[in-house]
Amino acid sequence: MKIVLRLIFYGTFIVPVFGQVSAQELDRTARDFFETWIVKQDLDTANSFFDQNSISNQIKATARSKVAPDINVSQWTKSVLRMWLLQDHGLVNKLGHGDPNDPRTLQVSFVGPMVKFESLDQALEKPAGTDRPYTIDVVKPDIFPWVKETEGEFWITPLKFKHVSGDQVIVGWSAKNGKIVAFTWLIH
Amino acid sequence: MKNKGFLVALGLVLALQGLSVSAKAWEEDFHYGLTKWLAANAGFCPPHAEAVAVYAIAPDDDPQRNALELTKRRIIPLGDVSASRIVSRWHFPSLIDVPARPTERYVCSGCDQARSIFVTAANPNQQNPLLVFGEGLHLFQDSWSHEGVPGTIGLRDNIFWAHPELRGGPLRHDADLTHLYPYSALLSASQVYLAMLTFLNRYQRYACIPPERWDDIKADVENFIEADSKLKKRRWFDDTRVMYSRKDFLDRVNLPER
Repeated sequence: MKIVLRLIFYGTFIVPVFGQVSAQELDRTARDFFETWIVKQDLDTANSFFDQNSISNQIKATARSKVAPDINVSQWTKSVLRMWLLQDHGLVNKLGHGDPNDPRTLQVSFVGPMVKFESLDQALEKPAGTDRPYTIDVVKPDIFPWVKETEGEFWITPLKFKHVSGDQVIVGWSAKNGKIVAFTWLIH
Repeated sequence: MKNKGFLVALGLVLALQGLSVSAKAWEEDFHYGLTKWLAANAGFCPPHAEAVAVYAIAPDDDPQRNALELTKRRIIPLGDVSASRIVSRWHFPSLIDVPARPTERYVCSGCDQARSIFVTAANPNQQNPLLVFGEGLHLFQDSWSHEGVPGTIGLRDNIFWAHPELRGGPLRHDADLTHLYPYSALLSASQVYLAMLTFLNRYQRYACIPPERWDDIKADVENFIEADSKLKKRRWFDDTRVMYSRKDFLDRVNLPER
């Protein structure tokens, strides 16, 4: 295994990198994912960035109903990605707002219309103190209890869409394979 | 005359306390819009009614107190307990301090913790009672929309604050939407109105007109609560004939357009 070790400044963090995916590579992967998801709105390709096993474990670990463990993970991730691309976010909430415990959640894939974005800068609020639409923050590996590969580093990229108030998307990445191992959001 | 109106309103609001509710945090239609409308009806002079409403939304506007910002920047990545305490102090009043299991940190509506900020407006040496009162209303109002056991998403559960499971859970906006929890919204509005009347009785310099009786405005409040789309909320605010400095505040509400 090739070991990469360096320190890189990302957002407010000095990121030590041990593993197969460097912080720079992760940054490129994250941008590619965000462009594919938000600007190109190619949800099939965006879906390939997810580690489906980890996301399945996430859903099971946080399940609060009998619905969630049986949900089709790939369909769920696609419908969740679509949530912040729709013009009427109130309608999204009416359909369960991506909650895997709500059987209406997958219906988000069948409603419209969508918002079009020419760039990530147009779509996303820039975090304070940065000139980028998102930051990459290193976190302790135990932050995602459902991820089995606990060695190495994990990153999170928080996102906030300009047209949706009260939602903060959190994307969790594994430094081992550069895949998305956690995808959730905060509401207020 | 003013005192008589206050006492009548007080009695009616106290009667509402017997309602059984479960609750969660409101959005800008409540924190700003309804708060201003209630303040105008309670007798605040127009500039002071506007100030109370702007102060009531301030804990959401301020990145140092905004629950999302603190959770995103400090609670989740750093496990920052002090940030969790700030979120609790301004949005999730609870008898139990963090860190603690969510089931131990029940968020209590209208309790002493929920009143802990705005009641200090009555302190004799208070320099800016209107500011303290208005900002304190935010926590008081949120105590109904966030009432219950905080929901969890599997991250930092012992310091994480979110919408309660019994009000739609942490992954959706349900807890903040008045039409889904009408009893909570009505009780919250009535208690805020009572707090305003009490405040004006203490600080009469902020009052310009006698207060309306709660019974006379209750139906309007119920119509506000029942409005389940942005269009209906807009119509309600258009009919109030109250001026709002924030023209776009309904744009940020998570209701369907129609």
